[in-house]
Amino acid sequence: MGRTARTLLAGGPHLVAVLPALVTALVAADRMPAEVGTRFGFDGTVVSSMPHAALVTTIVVLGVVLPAVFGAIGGRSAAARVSSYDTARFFGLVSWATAGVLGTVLYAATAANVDVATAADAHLPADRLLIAVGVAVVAGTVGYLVTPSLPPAPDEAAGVPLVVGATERVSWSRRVESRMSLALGAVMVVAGLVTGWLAGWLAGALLLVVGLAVLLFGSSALVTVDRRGLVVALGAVGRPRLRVPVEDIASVTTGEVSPAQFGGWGYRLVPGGSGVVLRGGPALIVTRRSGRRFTVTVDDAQTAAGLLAGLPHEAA
Amino acid sequence: MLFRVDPARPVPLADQIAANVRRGIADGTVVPGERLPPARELAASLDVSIHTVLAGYQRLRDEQLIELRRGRGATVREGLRPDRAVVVGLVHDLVAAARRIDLDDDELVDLVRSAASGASGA
Repeated sequence: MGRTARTLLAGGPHLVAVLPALVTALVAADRMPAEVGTRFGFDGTVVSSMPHAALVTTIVVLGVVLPAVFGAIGGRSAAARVSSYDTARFFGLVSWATAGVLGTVLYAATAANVDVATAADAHLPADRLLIAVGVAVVAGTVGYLVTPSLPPAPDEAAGVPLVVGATERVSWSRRVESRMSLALGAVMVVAGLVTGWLAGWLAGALLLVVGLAVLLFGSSALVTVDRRGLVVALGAVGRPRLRVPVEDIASVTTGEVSPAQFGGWGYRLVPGGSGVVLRGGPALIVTRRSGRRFTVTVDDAQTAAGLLAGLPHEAA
Repeated sequence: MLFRVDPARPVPLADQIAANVRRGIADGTVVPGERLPPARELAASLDVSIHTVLAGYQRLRDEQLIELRRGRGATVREGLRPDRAVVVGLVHDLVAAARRIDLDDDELVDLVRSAASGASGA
C-alpha cells in the first residue's frame, strides 16, 4: 500500500465525519436560529452559542485541518522498529475512533438546533455522548482492521564495529537537547506565574513546579557509551540516569524514529521497549538479551553503535 | 565526541585526552561552543583519575582551544577556527619528533623561528 493510500486511509474518515453536520447546517439553514447552541450541559440544555456562520466555519476548518494532520501522520514512511506493537494499525484505530466521536457529536449538536426558535430551545440529551462513544468503538475497530500493518524499516547495519585494543579505553558521549521540552517548560513556568497572580498561588505553584521539572529533567540528556555499556543521564544535573550494561546488550542498530511512535516526548514506555525521545530523527537502538528495545535519540548514533558493537561482550 | 586513550602508550594520559579533543575540533566532530563532557563523567567513563582529565582540559585551555568556567564546565571556544587545533596538533607532533632525535629545545625553537622569518620574508 502506497503513501497516498495510507494518507487517505488515515485522513479520509475525518473528511467523511464532518459531512453530516456540514450538510445539515447548510440544507437546514433556514430552519435554524441565527444563534445556534454549540455547547450543552449534562442536562441537555445549551451552555453557550455562536452565530450560524461561525458554526459552518468551524465545521469546515475541522474538515480541512483534521484530515490534513491525520493524513500527514498516517502517510509517513516506515520508521525503525522500537516496540512490539503495530504503530501503523494502532494509529488507524486512533484516527478512525477520533473521527467517529467528532462526527457524531458535531452532527448531534447541529441537528439539535434544527426546527427550534432560539438557541435556548435546543436540547441535546447526554445519552448522545454514549452513542458517540459507541460509534468511536465501531469506527476504531474498523480503522484497525482496514489499516494494513506497515512493516518497520529494516534494521540498519550497526556500521563498522570500532576495533578497541586490549589495553585501550574508549568513551563516546553526546548531549541531546529538546526544543520541545524547553518550549513546553518555559510556557508552563510563565503560565504558573500568571495563574499564581490571577487565580491563587496553589494552582500557580503546581504549574511552576511541573514546568521547572520539565526544564530541569526533560530538556536535555547526556548519552555515554563506554566499557560499561550505555548510560543516558537525564537533564542538566544528569540524574536520574538510565543504564544498559554491556552484558545485557544483544544487538545494536540505528534508525530514524519519531516521537509519534512513542506517543510523545521524554522518557517513554511502549510495549516491548522503552526510550528517551527528545526529538525526531536519528536514534541509537539497543536490543537487550530479553528482547526488549531501548531507544535514545542522539546525533552521530552510528559512531555510538559501532563502539557498542566493538566492545568486549563477556557473556557473548 | 569520541575519546580513545591507551595507558600502554608512552604518552601521558592527560596529553592523550587533549589530543582527542584537538582531533575532534580539527575534523569537525566537535564544534565551537560545544560543551565537552564533565571532567568527573569522563574520568569515570575512561576509568582514569579526575585530575588526569582536568590536566588535559587545562592544557587545551592554555592552548586557547577551550574555555574552563566554574559551573559551565569545559566548552570549545566560540569563534575558534578549527584549523587552530590542527596547528597546535602539528606543534605537538613536531616536539615529539624533535625529542625522538634528542634535538635540544632551544635548537628546535630557533629552527621554528628561522622558518617563520624565512616564510614572512619570502
